Amino acid sequence: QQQQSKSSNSLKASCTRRYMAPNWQPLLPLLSALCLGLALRAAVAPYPHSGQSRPPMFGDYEAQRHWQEVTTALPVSEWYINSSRNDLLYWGLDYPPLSAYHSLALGYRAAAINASWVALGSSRGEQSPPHKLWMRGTVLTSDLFIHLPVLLASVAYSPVSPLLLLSAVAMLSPGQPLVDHGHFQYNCISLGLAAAAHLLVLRRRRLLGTCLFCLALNYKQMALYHSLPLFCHLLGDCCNLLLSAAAPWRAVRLLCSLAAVVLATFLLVWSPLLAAAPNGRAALAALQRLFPIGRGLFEDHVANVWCTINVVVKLKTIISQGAAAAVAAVATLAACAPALVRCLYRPGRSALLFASFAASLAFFLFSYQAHEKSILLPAMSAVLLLPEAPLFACSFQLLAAISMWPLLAYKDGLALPTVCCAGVFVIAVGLLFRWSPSIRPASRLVVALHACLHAPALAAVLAGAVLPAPASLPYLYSLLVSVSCCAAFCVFLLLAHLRLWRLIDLA
Amino acid sequence: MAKNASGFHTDVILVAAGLTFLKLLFSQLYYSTDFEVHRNWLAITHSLPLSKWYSENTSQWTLDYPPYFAYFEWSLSQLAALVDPGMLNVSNLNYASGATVMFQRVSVIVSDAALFAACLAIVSDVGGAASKSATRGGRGGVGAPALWTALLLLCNFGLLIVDHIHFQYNGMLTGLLIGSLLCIRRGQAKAGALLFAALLNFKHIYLYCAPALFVYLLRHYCIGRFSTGHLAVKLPAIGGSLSVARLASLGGIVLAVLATSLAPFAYHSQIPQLLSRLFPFKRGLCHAYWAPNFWTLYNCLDKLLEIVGCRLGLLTKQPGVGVMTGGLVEEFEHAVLPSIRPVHTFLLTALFLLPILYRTWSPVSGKPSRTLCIESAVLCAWTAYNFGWHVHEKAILLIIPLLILLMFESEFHARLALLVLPIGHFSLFPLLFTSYGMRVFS
Repeated sequence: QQQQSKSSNSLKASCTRRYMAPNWQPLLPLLSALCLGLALRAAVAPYPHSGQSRPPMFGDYEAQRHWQEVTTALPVSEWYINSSRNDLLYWGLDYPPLSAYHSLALGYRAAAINASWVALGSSRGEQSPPHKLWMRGTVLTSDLFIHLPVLLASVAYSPVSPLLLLSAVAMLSPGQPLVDHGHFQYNCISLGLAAAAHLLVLRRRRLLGTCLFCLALNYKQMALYHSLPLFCHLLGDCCNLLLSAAAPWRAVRLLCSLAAVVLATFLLVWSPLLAAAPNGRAALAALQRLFPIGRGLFEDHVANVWCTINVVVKLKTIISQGAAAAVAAVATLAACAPALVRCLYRPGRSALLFASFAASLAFFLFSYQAHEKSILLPAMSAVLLLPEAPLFACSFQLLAAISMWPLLAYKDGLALPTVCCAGVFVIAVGLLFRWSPSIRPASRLVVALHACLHAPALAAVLAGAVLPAPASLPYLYSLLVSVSCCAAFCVFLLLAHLRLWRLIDLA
Repeated sequence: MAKNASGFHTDVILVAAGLTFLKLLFSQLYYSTDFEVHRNWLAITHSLPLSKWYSENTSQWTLDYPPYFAYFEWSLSQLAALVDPGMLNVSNLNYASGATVMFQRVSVIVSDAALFAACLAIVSDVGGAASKSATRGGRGGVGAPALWTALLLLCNFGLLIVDHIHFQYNGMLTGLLIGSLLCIRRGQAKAGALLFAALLNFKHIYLYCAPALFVYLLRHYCIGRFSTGHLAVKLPAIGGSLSVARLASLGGIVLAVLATSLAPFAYHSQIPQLLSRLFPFKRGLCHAYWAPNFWTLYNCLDKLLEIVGCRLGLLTKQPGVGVMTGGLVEEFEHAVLPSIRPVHTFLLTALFLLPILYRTWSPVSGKPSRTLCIESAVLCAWTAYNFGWHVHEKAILLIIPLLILLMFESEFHARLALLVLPIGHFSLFPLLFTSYGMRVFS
């Protein structure tokens, strides 16, 4: 008995992390969690991908395959420009160049396996089982090498002790596997790079962190959601250096080196485009594809404030698109301003992570042309927040998955995997709180409040599964899910702001 | 973590619920021909009268499990009729509509309730492992061996991939096996015998364990010091007396179970046909995928000697001889070493069982220890696995759960289990044939 308690004490002591280099003891729980995460993602893979067997447009899977086709067949100058060989109306490239280079590399590999998969023009609609296996494999490998290790590192470097359970919960977060491995996307790359940037900046490796963040930005422009808090944090660091007793030229040096890193990274990524055509024509065309002002305030049903207001006040008929963009920009900045100010004023670990969460959620709620899949950006921040505020983070991740229900269940046929992933996640969180008294929620009331946040959305999901929608309102349940999730997200945003300014404590 | 039994119950229930979600998620993965086998059996038991169950052979996957499993498939088929009647047509070979797949997968998940019940029994095992010390490498301060045993059984990787991907019903059978061993360990021999007899009538591969349990029950339940009223027969050589009452009650239970299972087929004179289906000795020494047992080494040695002999010119290569690597299920001859016939394997198995049975009969310490029945069951099954005729590699799933039951009893058991479990699970990989399956290997 004494030996047992001694060994468990020493185990607990060594599990307590401080900001120091890792030893090898946490490797086994982390590897186990990694395997669990991989198994979950691999198990989602056989389900239908976006647009499976739905000609003529198919879905995101076909879009990615088409980009492989276009980038391997055409020179760089033609990638973003409409031509007879590159029909931009059929899934034209609308992500930044790093995404295009990734598609190029994948396209070469695909052509080496089977040239018909990326043959220009004739490979449209390719979805044979070997092709699907290979495509799913590419997402799995990029998830394995870029995204999952960063999430595990964020848990491992935190000072909270139940390593196995926390990392398992981080791996099982339901939103990202369903979108990346079910619907089919490569969010894992930009999310992983952005998360790595956060962690590196917090560990004072600012230049490397900034470089990785610029890469994330150049992979998917949605990473802009996270850009403001990082910028304010770094600016705040510079100001602190300026005001500190040490020589103020260190602040200037930091600022200049950060700017240099950003410029260098962008130049490196965009140089092929800039060099391809005279007057930077190719680069300008790319920019126009990346920020399509013409697409409207929102599309379909998003758990967005504008979509919710639109239920009562038909916004699209009242204001023009330009004005709508301006209003959205102002609203977004206003919604994340308190967080940014806090980050600037006293930069620190919880300040940056909560501000990143608040800002990305504010962008999701108020920005122009937000997609429902963009909820993965605040969800990623929530995973980084797991050690600090477990119940808050897990509750948000579950709600993020629920908010994507209309997309996953009604359009993609992924209802069963969604339910299963959500179920596994909820049980894992339950076990985490049962087996780790140190991070258990403070009171049952808090848990009940979080349950109330989820209840309307869950009720809408259940109603949609059981009752058919009335003929006059065919999208009733999608709308109900979106509206209830939007309301809950606003509550989360408020809670994050309050916590940032230390007005409440989120255990 | 809660230290009382009801706290453990909640943990087991939570983990089982989480696993149910995972198993539902796995439902769309690769399934093997065993899926068609069970669909065919649903069709046979539903559409045909009982007298034809064991003589039907429209499909190559004929019914070759004992009658209780056939009754189980029959009751499933009553539900299947509500889901998709198309699967119950005997001539619908390889019928696999979406509803069929989901029905079959869900039936496996629901039948795992037997394993779940066994795990609940483990964590309520009063005076059992929960009161013992010593857990190996406790993670994060968890210190309850009974809970770990239950969780390791529930989350057993081998059962997961064989049952919920490859497609079989081993979870239910493992639950019955563990239940019967727990009863026997607690001294409730009648319940244990009932469960084990029922288990034998579900899948007769559990005959591997039967000699050990028979000897154990005979020596440590039927023979002892009894007061009057047990119809005791004195056995001075052993120093106790044989309780004829107990022997008769156990025998009666087993015979009653056999009767309920075989009587309908005896009525239709189907017993010889049934026996020939249950014990097919024409299938060859090894299965298409070799089970890692003694005969594997024997075959390899034979092949090696043949190659060496041919190189040295001492032999000429004879076609059709020594071709076990062809991946087929058939009888064959060995090239250099003596060919093996079923009687040889039987004799070898019996030979190696003798020490085990002897030690079961008279344990080293004189009194039967807590783990004796499980240990002898494991060793008995392992010997049969090693030397048996036409052993499937899935048979390792008899041994693995029993090792997990023993794992927390002492350091020796833990070391043994930690060595054997990964190897055993690794040996199951060839069952996951496609690349999708290979990825889900955590």
